[in-house]
Amino acid sequence: MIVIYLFCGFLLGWSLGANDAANVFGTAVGTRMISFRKAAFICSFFIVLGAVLGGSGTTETLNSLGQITNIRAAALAVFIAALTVFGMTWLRQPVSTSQAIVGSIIGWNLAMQLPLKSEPVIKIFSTWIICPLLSALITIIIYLAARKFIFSRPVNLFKRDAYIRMALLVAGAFGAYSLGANNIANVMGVFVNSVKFEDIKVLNVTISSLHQLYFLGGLSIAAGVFSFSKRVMMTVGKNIFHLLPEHAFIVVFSQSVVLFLFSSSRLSDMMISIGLPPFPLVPVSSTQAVIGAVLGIGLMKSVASLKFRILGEIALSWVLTPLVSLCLTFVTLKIFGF
Amino acid sequence: MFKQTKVLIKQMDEYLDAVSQSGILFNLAINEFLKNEYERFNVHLLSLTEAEHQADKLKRKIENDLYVHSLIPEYRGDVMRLLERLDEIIDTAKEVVVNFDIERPVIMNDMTEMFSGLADIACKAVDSTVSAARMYFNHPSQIRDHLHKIYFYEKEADHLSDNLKRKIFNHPTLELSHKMHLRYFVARTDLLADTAESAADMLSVYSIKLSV
Repeated sequence: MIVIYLFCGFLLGWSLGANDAANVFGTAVGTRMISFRKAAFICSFFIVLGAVLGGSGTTETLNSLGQITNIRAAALAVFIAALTVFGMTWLRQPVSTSQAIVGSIIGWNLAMQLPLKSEPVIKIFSTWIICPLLSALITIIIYLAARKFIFSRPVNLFKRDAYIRMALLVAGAFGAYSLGANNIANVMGVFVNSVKFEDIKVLNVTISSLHQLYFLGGLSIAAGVFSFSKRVMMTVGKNIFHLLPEHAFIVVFSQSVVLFLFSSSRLSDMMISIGLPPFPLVPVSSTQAVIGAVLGIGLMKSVASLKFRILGEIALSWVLTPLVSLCLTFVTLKIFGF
Repeated sequence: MFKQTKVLIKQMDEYLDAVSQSGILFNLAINEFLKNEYERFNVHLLSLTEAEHQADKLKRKIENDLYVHSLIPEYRGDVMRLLERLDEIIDTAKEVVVNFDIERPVIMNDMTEMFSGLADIACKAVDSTVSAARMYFNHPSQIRDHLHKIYFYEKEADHLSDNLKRKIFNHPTLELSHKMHLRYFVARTDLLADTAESAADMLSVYSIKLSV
């Protein structure tokens, strides 16, 4: 039975792979610098790695929003989030898995008539606004630095192409790792309190229940990347602003940095140790990060070339996603008598 | 990835060398023809034919590599068009020299200097075009240093060819058919500079596209 419940999580993982994970390599594949197959392989490998090695930080924040202890309710919440993401993906809208799952968890809280803690809600909601803005800001800084120190140097056209390809691969791998670390909580976070596997020992290394969950979740994301992400990959890079390969690298790198900032426990501890306020460990949307980064490039290159109508549609889908997911979860839980 | 890049850079350099050589061989062949040194003219014609074959082979290899390895996707179309235009330069050079060999136009002594000057200036236009193309691949910001030279040489070639045509048609003893025959060779020789100019126009636009 657990497998069936977990399957709902895998469905969300698959949706995440098909949608959010595509953002990491979307611009590189969209500009035809990296083949889809190569991108999908590297993306999948590093997502699983990030999920297993660095996925615990953001899970804590998500659980503070609402701990779903009933596995059936967890499966239902995650299934509805997956359905919302799948629906939006089908409509070719770059949707956020984080928003969908947060909407579902809040819907569960409301259906269970549990009090909603304001601190995690504010923390999560504020990152939805901060994330694209921060991504745009980082992009602008990297763009200006790259223009001054890298792009101004004379490099042979073919050599430049090879360097950019390599840079895209490295930035994409970093982005995929950060995505796995940041977003695995969306896929498997709700099951942490309700699903317990036995520890597995391999060569003196103990693989805990949490890591097994994250590994399975990572595989489901990888399946989404391979099976359905190609279509969405083309949307992000091309529809808002025409990206050159150089810009694609900046977009991928900025997005990776943003995802890393919001998911690294070590960085958070380091910032606290030197007396700086840490970045909240929140599952942010890679879609929002990539849109923010593309917007940053657009602002630097030509504001007139930005397609504001599409940006408006994307912003609307960001408002609709948590609302749809919240309402659907609330209604479904009521129907099933929770 | 980097090995493929090295191979491609080498091929492109060799291709540009072949274009440059075709301009030099064109100039040498015309000058030998004007001096009635047909044996040396034939040697240059053979070298030109070989340079054209070599350039064709390299062009095909470069185009194939660009597509197969999906290299420079954003600029691939531009590079392909540039290669086509540079190929036209070699083809034009060879065609003119071959026609000199086949038709053996009788050039009057008082016209040889102007013919030689025209071939010389067309060769300089080709040479500057190759330099500009090298800049496109290596230092796009410095491409303008070469473009203005191409435009200057093309204008000079037009000026020279107009004067030569006037001289031909004002000649008191030549038959009209002879005059028309000579005019054809003046126009074809001038065409080399025109082709160089159209490559320069392309390079001018492409270099703007390259500036990030």
